[in-house]
Parts: sequence; C-alpha cells; structure tokens
Amino acid sequence: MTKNDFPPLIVQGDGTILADVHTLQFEEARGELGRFAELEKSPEHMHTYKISPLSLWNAASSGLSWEEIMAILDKYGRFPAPENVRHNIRETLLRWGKIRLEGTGDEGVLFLRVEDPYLHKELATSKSLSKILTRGEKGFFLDLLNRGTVKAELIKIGWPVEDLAPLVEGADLELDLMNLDVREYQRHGVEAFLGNGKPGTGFGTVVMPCGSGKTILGIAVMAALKKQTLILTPNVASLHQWRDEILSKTDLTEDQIGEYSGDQKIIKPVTLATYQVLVWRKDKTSPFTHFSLFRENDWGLIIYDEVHLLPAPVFKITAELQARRRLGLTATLIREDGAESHVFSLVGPKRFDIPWKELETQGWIAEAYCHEIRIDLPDNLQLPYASADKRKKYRIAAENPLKLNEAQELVERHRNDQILIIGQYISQLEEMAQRINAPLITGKTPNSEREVIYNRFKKAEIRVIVVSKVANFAIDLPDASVAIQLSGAFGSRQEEAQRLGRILRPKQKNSYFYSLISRFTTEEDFAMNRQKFLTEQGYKYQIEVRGEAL
Amino acid sequence: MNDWEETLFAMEEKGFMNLIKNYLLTLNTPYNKQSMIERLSAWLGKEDNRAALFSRITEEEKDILSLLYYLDQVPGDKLPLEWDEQIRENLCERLLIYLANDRYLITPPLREQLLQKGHISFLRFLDLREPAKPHRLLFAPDDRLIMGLLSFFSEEKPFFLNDGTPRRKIIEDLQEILPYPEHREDSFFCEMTELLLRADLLERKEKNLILCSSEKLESFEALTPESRIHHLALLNAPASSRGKLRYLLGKLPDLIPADRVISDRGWLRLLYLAEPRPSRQEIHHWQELPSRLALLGLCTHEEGETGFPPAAERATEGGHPVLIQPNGDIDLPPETPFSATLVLSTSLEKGGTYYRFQLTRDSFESGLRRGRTGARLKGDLEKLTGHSLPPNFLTNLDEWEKQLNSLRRVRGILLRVSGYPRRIMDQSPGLAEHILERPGDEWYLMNEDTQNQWKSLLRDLGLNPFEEIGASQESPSFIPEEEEPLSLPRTLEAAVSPGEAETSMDKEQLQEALRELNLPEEQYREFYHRIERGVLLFPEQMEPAVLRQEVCKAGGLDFNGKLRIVSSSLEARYPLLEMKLPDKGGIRTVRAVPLELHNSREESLLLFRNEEGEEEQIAVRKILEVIRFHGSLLS
Repeated sequence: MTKNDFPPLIVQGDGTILADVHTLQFEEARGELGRFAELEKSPEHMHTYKISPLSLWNAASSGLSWEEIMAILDKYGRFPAPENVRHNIRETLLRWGKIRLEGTGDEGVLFLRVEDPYLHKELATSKSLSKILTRGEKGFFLDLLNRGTVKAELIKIGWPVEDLAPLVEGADLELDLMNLDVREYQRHGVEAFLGNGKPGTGFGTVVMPCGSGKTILGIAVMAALKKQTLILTPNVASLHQWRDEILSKTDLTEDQIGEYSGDQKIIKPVTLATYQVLVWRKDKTSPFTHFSLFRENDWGLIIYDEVHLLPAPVFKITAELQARRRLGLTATLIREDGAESHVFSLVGPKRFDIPWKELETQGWIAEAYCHEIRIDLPDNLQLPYASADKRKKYRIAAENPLKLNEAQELVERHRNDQILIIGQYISQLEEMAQRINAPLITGKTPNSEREVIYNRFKKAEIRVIVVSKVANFAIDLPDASVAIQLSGAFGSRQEEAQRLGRILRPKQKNSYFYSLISRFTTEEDFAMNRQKFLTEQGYKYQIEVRGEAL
Repeated sequence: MNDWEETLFAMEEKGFMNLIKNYLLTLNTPYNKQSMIERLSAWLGKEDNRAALFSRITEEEKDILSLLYYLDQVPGDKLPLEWDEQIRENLCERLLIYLANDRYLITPPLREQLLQKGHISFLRFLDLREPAKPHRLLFAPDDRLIMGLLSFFSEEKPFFLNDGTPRRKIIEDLQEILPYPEHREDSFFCEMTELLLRADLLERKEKNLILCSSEKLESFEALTPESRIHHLALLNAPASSRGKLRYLLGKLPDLIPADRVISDRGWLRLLYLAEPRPSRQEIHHWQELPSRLALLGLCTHEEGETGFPPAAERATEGGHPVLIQPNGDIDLPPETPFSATLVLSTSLEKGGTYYRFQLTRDSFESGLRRGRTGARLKGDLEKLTGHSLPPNFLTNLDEWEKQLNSLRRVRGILLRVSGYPRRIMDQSPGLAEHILERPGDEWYLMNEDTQNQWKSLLRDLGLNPFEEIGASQESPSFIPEEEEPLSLPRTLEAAVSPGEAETSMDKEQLQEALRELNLPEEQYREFYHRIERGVLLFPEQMEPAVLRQEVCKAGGLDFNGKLRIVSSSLEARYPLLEMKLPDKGGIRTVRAVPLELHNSREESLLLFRNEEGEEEQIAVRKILEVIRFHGSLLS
C-alpha cells in the first residue's frame, strides 16, 4: 500500500489509539506516542496503543505534560480526540506530582508531601495507610522501611508517588568496560536510567526487544555507576550468560563475581542470583531464607533481568529496598498476572523503550519470518485421534510422526543456518535428535553439559540443537537463525515472545520460525493463538499446508 | 373562470353584494355577477389596493397565510389550525382567502404577491423559532453501529426476561463493545434493538433474538446509507406516505438553519405537506417521529422542539480505506457502508471512532451457515478494502471452509431427473447456476433459495417437477426511492424574502377620518367595526349607501325588539352585539358574542362571551340597550 498523507492517529473513546502504518507521519507519530501510551499490538496495517494510568504516569515521570500530550494527539490525530479521553488524560496526568516522597534529614524517616487538603484528608482516613503513616502538616511521616509499601498502597488507590527521597550510594566497585561498543540506543537507555543523578532518578525500567542487548545495557549502567551490584535473573542459564558477558565486556575478574544459585551461594561485589533460589523456602509458612542476600551487602545497584517475570515474593522484599538503585530490564511491561503496577511503583517507572521494528529497520535485530506448516495426521492415527479424549487428542496431534519428516526437510533446507528444534514431549525430541544426529537438551541435562553444548553451538561446531521447553527463557544462542517448533501449546504471550527471541539476535541474515501443526486437530486452536499473537507483533506469517486430508 | 371566481359566483347574494359594495362602492345595474367579479379582480390587481390590504395583515395572519399557501391541498376541516373561525371569516371578507369545497385557499390574484412581499414564508410555515435552550445533537448511529448490533446477534442470544424487558447483562455487553456516549440514555440499545426487530433485521424466537436471513441483509445493504437510517426512522409510517416522508427527512437538514428549531406545531404541518389527508395513525406516528429521529442522530428533539444541525457537523473526513490485518482485525473508518458480509462472517470487537471487527473461525462458520462461502467472503472483503488480503488470512479461510465442508448437512432441494428432461437439465445454461451438486446419476441438488427462479425456468422449458417442495419466500420491502415527490423551497432564504413597507392609511387615520364625517351613531359604529376588521381601507369606503338598511338597535321597554335582535344575531354566522347593561347602580357597555338564548316561561336568558372571554348570563329584559353589528361582510 502506498503511503497517504492522512494524520496517522485515531483516538478511540476507550483510550485506545490506532496508528495507521500507511501514513507519511506514522514514524514520527509513533515516536511521540511511545512516550505516553503502551503498544498493545502492531500488525501489518494498524498498530494499537493503549493509554493507561501507568503509561501516563510513566510519561509524567519523564517530564511530559498533559498539554504536550494533547498537542501530540491534536497534531497527529485524524479526528478530534473524544472529550472523555482528553478529560481522563488530564485528570490522570495531573495526579503525578501531587504526592511526593522526600527525605527529612533523618536517615530512617521520610516525608510524604501532600499539599492538596482534600487528598491529605483522603489519605489520612485510609485504613491501610493509617498504620504506617504519621500525620504531619501538608503530609505524612513514614519509616524508611515502609517506603515501598506506601508507594504500592497508594498506587492501588490510584495515586502515583513521585519518589524524590535520596538513594543510598552503596559500596564502590572499580569497573571499566572492555571490548564493548555501546550502541547509540543503548547509551540513550543508560542515560535515561541514570538521569541527572539527583533525587527521583536512578531507578526504573528499560524496555527493549529480545536480542537488542539488554545485558549490555545493564553492564553499561554498572560501569557508569561503579557500585557493587546484585543481578537477579530468571534461571541459571541466564545467570551464566550474565557472568560470561560481564567477564568478557568488563575488566572484572572471576573472583569478583559471585553466584547465588541452587548450586552455590557465593556473595561477591557483583553477585548473580536466580529468582528461584530467592523464593525458595522450606514450606509455605516458612520465611524466605535467601532474602538475607539483599541485606548482606551494601548494594549500590540491583538489576532485575526479565522484570516482567519477577515473582510476587521478590516484590515484597523489593519494597524494602527502595533506597537502592534499581534497574528493571524487560522486553515487555505486560505481566500475565496483571501486576504491572508493582513494577511501576517498586522497581520504578519506565525510563526508556525502543520498538523492535525500529531496531529491525536499523539492522540491529534480524528480520523474522514466521511459518506455520500444517501437516495431515497419518491415516492410521485419524481414527484413534477422533475417538480419544481431549487430553489424548492433544498428545496424538502434537506427536504426529510426519512432523519429524517435515522438520528433517527444514533442517536440510536451512543447511547453512544454526537451528533450534523445540518440543514438549521428550520421546518425540529423542527421536528427532536421533534422526538428525543432534544433541538434545532437556530438564534432566546437567547445567555443565548444557553449557558445553551451547558453547559448541555458538562456535558453530554443531548446527542443530534439539531442546525441550527449558530453552524458552533467557538462554543466549547468538547464531540461531532458525527455530522449528515441533510441539508445545501456546503458553503465554511472554513464552512466545521469548521463543521467538531465541532467533532474533543480530545476524547478517533473516530469521525463520517454523511451527509444525497437525492439520484439522486441536493443535490448530493453539496455532491460531500463536498466529494472532505473532501477526499482532508485526511478524510476517505464512501458512503452508501439507497433504490432502480432505 | 378560475376556482376563486367560481366561488364568488356561487356565493349567496347578500354576502356577495356586501363585498362588492364595500370594495367597489357602486353596483352597476342590471346586476351582472360576472362583470362584478371581473371588477373585483381588477381592483385586487391595483398596487394601492393590495398595499392597503397587506398593510392590515397581522403576524398571526401571516402564519395562517403561510400555512394555507404551503398546505393548499389540505381540506379545511383537516387543517392543523389553532385559529379561530372568526379569523378565517375575516380573512375571507378581506379577500385574502376564500373557501371552496371545504378548502381554504389564498385568493389567486394575491397569492404570489403575498409571497413576494414576505407575508408568506416557509419559515413561518414551519413555525421556526430560537430554541428555548441549546440543543445537543445525540451521537448518530451509523452503518457500522447497525452492523455491530446485528453481528452481536449472529448467534442466537437470550435477550428478553419473562416480563418482556431486555436482560440487563446483554445491554451491558452491548455498552461494553459499542460506542455509548455519556449523554445517551440507558434505553438507547433497547430502542435500537427494537428498531432492528421492527425492520425484520432481527427476529424474535421466544425470549431470544437472532439475525435475519442473509437475503434481508442484502436487501438492506442495497439501500444507500441515508435510506437505511430513514428506513429505520420511518418503520411505523404507513407505507403510502413513507416515500414522501423519507424525501422530506432528506431535505430538512439542508433547509433548517442551525440556530432554529421547529415547534411541535410546525412539525405537524410538515406531515400535511407530505400527506394532505393523514390518518389518525399517521398523525400519531409523525408526532412520535422526532424522538426516533433523535435516537438515530438525525435531529435534536427537546421539549417540543425539533432541530436539524447542519450536515457539516456530523460529516467526517472520508476516503479512508477499510484495513484488513493478518491477525484477523478488520478496521472500519467512519463512513464505511453497511456490509451484509461483515455482519454475517465477522464479529465486533470494539466500536469507536474506528470500528474493529474480527474474523475468527467461529465467525466464519456462522457466516458459512448463512451462505457466505470463503470465495464470497474473500471477494466482498477485497472489494471493501481495495487491496489484497494477507496470505495467512486467505489460507485460514480456505482451511476452515474445507474442514467445515468435510461433513455437512446440505440444504437444498433434491430433484430426480431422468429421460429427456435430464438432457434438458444438463444443457440449459440458465439452470446450471442453480444446481448445487450432482450427488449421483439422475440426482440434482438444487439451490433452495433460488427455487422460484429455477422452477420458473423449468416451466418455461415445459418441465414441471412432480412434487413441490418448500414455500416461496417473501422478499423484504424497504422504502422505495422517489424522485422529488414534494415541492419544497430549495433553501429557506429564498422563501423568506423581506417584505416591503406598505404605504396606505393606517387604522388610526381611518378612524380620524370617520369621526370627521359626523355620521349617525349606527353608521359610525358599523364603519368603525369595518375599520377594526380591516375591510375598510380607504375613506371613500365610508359611504352610508353601502350599508344594509336594517333595524339593528332596541332598548328600554322594547322587550320584543331586544329579543328579536338577540335571536337574529344568534342566527348569523359571526354575530356581534354591543349592550348597555346595569352595573352596580351604574351602566356598563359590553361588546359581546351571543352564545345561547334560554327561553322559559319566566325569563329569556342570554348567555354571551364578553371582551375578556368570560361567559356571562343576563335576562333579556334587563338589557338597557342592544345594538347588533355585522361580524362579517359575508354574514
């Protein structure tokens, strides 16, 4: 479609904003829109953004005023924005700054400044807050320990807190970057996070697509601050990647980096821990014993990798760490549990984001093509499938043996690519691995063995890895440009994003994601969800049909 | 001889002579009615005379004249008039209007002059006025909202509770997905659903609602967007007047200034413009119409006032394409026309400035059940969007259709044909398009929906199927398009040209001239009343010879005289009495309209209406003096 000169944005009455891709001002408008609205989906023609209180407060925290937002909507709006939306934006945005958290000079006490008398009265009568707030003139006093709790409680009732209380500096750490060219957008991310170093900066979230170098950005922040750092990661593989990247991109040595995981509990000036070990406890009533890690060192920075996966108990401890610098890294602010507001209030507002399409245009991430290949069930499985119960049906469809032939052909077709074959059922994966003589990684594969395989893959000594869903999160396979999904339900938007993220790392060539589906089976329902999700992310999606069952 | 002249010709002698004497002053003998009428017509043709006649027209009379001008086809007894019969009579004696065959009409020689001079205007006819308070145009449901509502019911849904009211949950669901501005009343979706039910676009199955047949939707689609809304607005209107009413609705927004509103009275007059002899049902429907039009965003209606905001306020910038996305989202910009395919094969996700429909397997299946095949859907969507559809979208359609068709109950009519008819069946190109499948030798599955057509074709070929199956379907009827069924001013400006100032003696000057004549009291009073009634326009008309020589005064002890005057006045069409009555030891003079005379053995009592409009009663014997005047030259 040729570009037209219509204004690109259409503001809907429910606060949704549609952005017409085929307009001359689209790119310009998208840049502005990202400052105060969250991208929900970005299919081929029309992208959907959503204005929410959090997106507006994120905008407010970065200094955007409601007048500026109105000016953007007026400038790029195809039709006048509905009155109710204008009103809501104004009312919501003006809440920012009405409540400010400030230092008092007394290290253990903070002051919650509330100058509006009606709001002051509202907070004074709040049951949940009255226990932790002490009334003062034009505000309330609170213990430093309750800094996070107060912020979380206030956001529950629709009031964001502008946190201007000072942060603790933390213990120093000599650290310099080596062999690392920080890309321009990564540098912008670092600057946005650090701000001017004054109260109200030094905590927040950076949103960047998979494969765009979030780890590098985290390391660049560490190098800029030169403070002892605690890095929390979703799993051990991810933890090891961080360790390897830190060792290769900075002048830190192995003895300065500790691992706090199921295998070992070593605390060093830079300590890497997994979410799993932090939330481990003997039983449901016991305390989280490893939370002591947060207090056992004078951390100057805490990094939350994949912050959208942060477990609920870690939020609780994070509430107590509000005086520490906190950096959240993620590809998406959307949480399946809907706890986005926790990330906002406890880790910090969004300080920087960049759409993946922009990075793709700039060549920083690969262009990805998604293919769904529908394969008939073999004749001998059609009646068993038809007569099976729902659960069994799914399994028969997932383990369709003809998928292995197709996968084998794809491996042949991509003979010059690094390939990941992902599946849900071990027996299927074993057979696949055996057929193409490729290593198999499952949950049972020891970490050490996994790393050996990953390293060989990285060095292109092996071209194909067959892997169970353990590979879904936070492993770094820099040269994989093809992923073939043999089986596996559409789990969540995050899972799909992560799975695709495996092949989006910067490369010289395009990436391919194949999803093999048994035709006319329940697998198609899951595939529809995947198709919808991926097309909504803007990926090109093609469906190929094998066989003639009908 | 025109209608007016014929009316004068047929007029009873006394009234006719009064008119002639009053305006022409002299009666040529022998009397020749024809020549007198010609003289009267010539008199009316004179500029000075017209100016004098027009100078006495009151604002109320201008309204009446405007009404009569535009409603010249309406019978007198049907006119929506709130004016006194006496005013009509007065207008008649002033030669401005006449009564012919129960119809009041404007005197032909004056008709266009009255319009040109601004005494008649469409603005007056509509009784336009400034609104009592600012009017606010309600959000206008467009084709997309109708599509959204209909697609919501593409699967049968429980809608009514036992008491016949809509389920709250369903209404809330509709409010969630369809635009529902705050100023809309809660009943909006109930009323819209009711309209769609009446339009046969939704059907009621006990407590459930379901979408109508695809044929009805297609017929609805074939109308223009404006016609569709008008069709919904005029559902209750009698079929005979729908075309005219629709035309009227199409014209009004361009005709009525944005800062004016039509009163309920003006609104009713519009009906008569479209339908000179409306039935009671038509009047009722018309009076209810403004609120329905307001529901459909076609006008405003508040406190008995109806306004038509200019089209520009409602128009949106057009030219935006429908966008069909790989994830199945179909984004509809404003002005997207109604599409039966969208209703049948997609579901509404959310309405707003843009509407977002979605194509899913379920929605496709629903459409396929009603005959929307993948190929048809593809063709319709491509036509709608103007560009090719995403490849994954097309594969989905193809795959869904294959799967759904792999085991299906086929709707159709099975014909078994053998022998020579079979050769005819096979070779007739006209029949081929009605054959759905040939399931076996000698078997033909025929399209049930087009059975009337193929049966007719068969009959033309000399073949009659042995057994008739199914019933023919009624085709839906929508409002027909009519070419200019009404004559309306093209713009209001053209119809309200300002009147010129009339130059003639005014009432006070005439009265002064009358006083100077020093006429006997009875004559003075008669002329005085003629000046008051506007039939005496020039001093020359104050000629005592033109007055009727009748005894019309009695008093004192002349009881019989008083009784005769009172009785005769009651027989006149427009009687007027002036009475001197005893009043608390004094005397008061009352100008009265006699109403009734009760004669009993003891007393004759006169019931009359005084100048204040109050009714009073007095014994005739107590009247000190009574004088009868002519209420009209015609009486």
